[in-house]
This record gives sequence, structure tokens and C-alpha cells, in this order.
Amino acid sequence: MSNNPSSSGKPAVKSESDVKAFVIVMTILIVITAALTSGTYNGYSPNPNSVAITGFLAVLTIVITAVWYRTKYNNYSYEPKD
Amino acid sequence: MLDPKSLNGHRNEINGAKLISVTAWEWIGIFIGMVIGGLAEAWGISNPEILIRLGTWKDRLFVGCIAIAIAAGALALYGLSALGVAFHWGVKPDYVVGIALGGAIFGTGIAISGYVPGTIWMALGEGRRDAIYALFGGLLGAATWTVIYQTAFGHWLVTFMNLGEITFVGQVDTNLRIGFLVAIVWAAILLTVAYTLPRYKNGKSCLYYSTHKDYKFSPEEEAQHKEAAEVLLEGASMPTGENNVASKVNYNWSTSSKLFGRVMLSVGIIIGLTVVLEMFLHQIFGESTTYSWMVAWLWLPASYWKYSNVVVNTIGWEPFSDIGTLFGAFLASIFFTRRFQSFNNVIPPTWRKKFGASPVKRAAGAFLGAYLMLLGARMAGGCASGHILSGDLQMAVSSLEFFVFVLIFLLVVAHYLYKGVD
Repeated sequence: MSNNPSSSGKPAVKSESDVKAFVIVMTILIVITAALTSGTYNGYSPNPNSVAITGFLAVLTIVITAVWYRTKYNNYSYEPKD
Repeated sequence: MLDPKSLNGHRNEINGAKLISVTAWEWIGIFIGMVIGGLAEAWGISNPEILIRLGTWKDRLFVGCIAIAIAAGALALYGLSALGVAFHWGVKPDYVVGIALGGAIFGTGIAISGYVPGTIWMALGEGRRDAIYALFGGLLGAATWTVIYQTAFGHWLVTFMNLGEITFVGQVDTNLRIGFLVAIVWAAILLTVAYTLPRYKNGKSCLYYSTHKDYKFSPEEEAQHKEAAEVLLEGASMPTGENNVASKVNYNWSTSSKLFGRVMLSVGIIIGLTVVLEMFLHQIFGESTTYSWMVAWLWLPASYWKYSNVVVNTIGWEPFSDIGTLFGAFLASIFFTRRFQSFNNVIPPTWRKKFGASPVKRAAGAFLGAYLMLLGARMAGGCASGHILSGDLQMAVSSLEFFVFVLIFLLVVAHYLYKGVD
């Protein structure tokens, strides 16, 4: 049983299947991108273009998700009880 | 080390010894980073308040958890090595003065920012706004070392009293059977520390809990756990919900003072074994070289800067594992802990009580602290991941020295910096 002391005053949890599906698809896409651009190289001097495109997709996913959650929960930010 | 072949394991014979050796494709590093980033986010160390509280000695979570991870990893590494499994060792050379100075600067930087290089990636994944400033401070710190390395002073730092790549049992990847015996003693010491050191100030240790089976948390301890959960959740851009996994993670598991409880102990062991798996597949787990690697491609090219040249030719899959660390923390904060902040304005409580709630001041603190922290890390050749986790797991002398200096300066600087904060 949760002993969450701040359960009141919070917005209700909404369905997040849309944003979570987006995150899952992007996760798969990021791994595929890294695999295709880096290939079977196993040395110690990574291709900067491969890292850049993979990192870009990761950052893009995080930013879009942030906007999605801000919209979904109307800029909610959890405030602890002092 | 053996020639790289492929992801598939193969056997080679060197000096009569059977060795199982693998060198995996670089992008596989993403998965290693995801495991460590996700679990560390669940621990809560992506939250700068947790490391600031380590500095003020109010929450020793990091010490206990990292001790468990190192103990498990050292036993597995030396045990498997003694049986003939080949690893991609990465013991840092012990240039005594440079490591000490780097550790001192690194510890100071953690006290100010609340971040280590890896937790900046995790915090970005968790959507923390101040991690953006920390990232830029870190890049500037890494760039500063690239410039210093080119000078006579930089050369002196990495060559004066350089004892080489040594472990507790001699040169790296030698004396493995003796190493395994020493690893047992090393693990016993670390586990004893984790078992006897209370997580919270004025709290009880795991030893106390195990010898007082009927003990119930005092109201003060209950309040401490709840306050720790509030700290972890502050700024979350989604409600936690009730009676779900996130609720259990935040209000029971991550804030537990029982580091030898099933969940906390499992996480520590899994992280230690993941580092060993990474050493089997490709290299040690590190987080800070990527900052120098980015500097090399963005500002200080390898064609001129010697340090950039070293980094771009030896970094291996670390940029991929760092992307994995960032993304693993992101996934954990969405699916597991529900702490994703969507870049809300959050100031760590201890910082807020001392310096106020100004986002500008906090941004400056995160930038400056991360600058010092990365400068120290690159000077010493590693950070909390490359030295303290991977290095101490390999029983590297340089990493033990680094850890001692980091801890001393973290505690002293944090003590004076946050003096008067309750």
C-alpha cells in the first residue's frame, strides 16, 4: 500500500498510451539507427556522424516527450510538502 | 589483448592458456548504458540533491550502493579472469600528483553542482533543466584540460611520479589467481562498509536492522524516508499515481535505508555485473571521456591538439554507452519512476536553502561545478564511472587514490559551502 503523503491535490493520472507508444517506437528507431550507421565496426574510434544522428534522435525524443507531458498535464510540476 | 573478431565468442590460445574473448560491435554499448542509466535513475543519483547530501554526509546512498556494485564486480571479474576469460581491462595509470589534484578538483565540483559526468547524462534524460547548464560547464572543463595537456605543466602532471597501470596485485591482467583472493578481501571490506554505514544521518545501519529483527522505524525515520521521496519526486511533470510500481519505487525502494534489502542489493549487484559484462564485450564503463571527444569534434581538433588525438582514437563505444545512459534514465523516468521533469524549474533543496531559489544562481552553480568536475575528471583520466566504479572494481591503485581525494574534498567543500543548512 502506498504511503504517499501528497496524493491529494495532484491531477489524476491520464491515459499515456499515446506518448508511451511514441517513446517505444523512437527507442526502436534509435537502436536501429545506431546499428545501421555503425554497423559491425568494433574498434575504438567511433564514427562521429553515427553518434551524432543517434544522439540527435535521443534528444529529439526527450524534448518532444517533455512538450507532450507539459501539454497533457497543463505544465504540472510536483511540489513537495514542506 | 586478443585481436577483435566479431560479436561471436571464440577461443584463442596465448602462452598455453585458453582464453574466451569477445569484442562486440560499438552500438551494443547503448544497451549497457541503458541498463546502468535506468537503474541509477531508479536509485535516485541523477538527482543533484542526492550527491549534495552525500557531501553534507546526510545521505550516504551513493557510498553504500557503489560499494556493493564494486564488491560484486571485483569478485566476478577476478574470478572469471582466473578461469581464463579474457577482459578488456582499462586500469588508469597512477600518476600520483595528477590523480590527487584531479580528484580534489573533481570532489569540489561535485559539492558545488551535485553532479558527476554520468549523472549529467542521466539528469538530462530525466528532463532536469539545470543539467543543461551542467553539460555546457562540463564541456568547457573538458576543453580546458585538452588545452592544459598540451602545456609543460600538463605533461608534468601525467608523467611525474607515474607508477603505471597497476592494481593491488601488480601489473594489470597479471597474478589473476592471487588477484581473486585479494578481490575476496576487497569485497569483504566494501560490503562491511555498506553493511555498517547507516544510509541516513542519525539513522540505523543494515547491521542494526539484521540484529534487531523486531525493530520498527521510528516516526523520525519514517519522516526521513518520506522527505527523501519528496526530494526525488520534486518537479515531476506527471502525477505518480497510487498503488503502482512508481509509488513503490519512490516511497519504499529508492528511499529505503536497508541497502541489503532485496531490491537495493539486486540493483547494486546488477550494476557491478553489467560493468564486468561490458569489460568482457568491449571496454570499461566510463562517462567523462565523451565530453573530451565532443570537444575534439566541435572545437579542438585532433589534428592539432594531442589530447583530442588520444581521445578520438581510443574512446571506443563510450559515446554510444553515454547515449544509452541518457536514454536509459529517460525510459526509467517515464515507465518506472515517473520522475520525468519536462525541464521544469527545480532547485535542489539544500542549494535553495543556502543560496535561494534563483534559477540564474543555480544555473551558474551547475555550470561552475560541472566545469571543475570535468576538468578534474579529465586530469585524473576518469570519473565516478571510469575510476570509482570500473577502476575500483579492477582494484586499480590510481582509482583508489582518486576516490580518497574525491571523498575528502567533496566532504570538506560541501561542509563549508552548505554550512548552516538544516
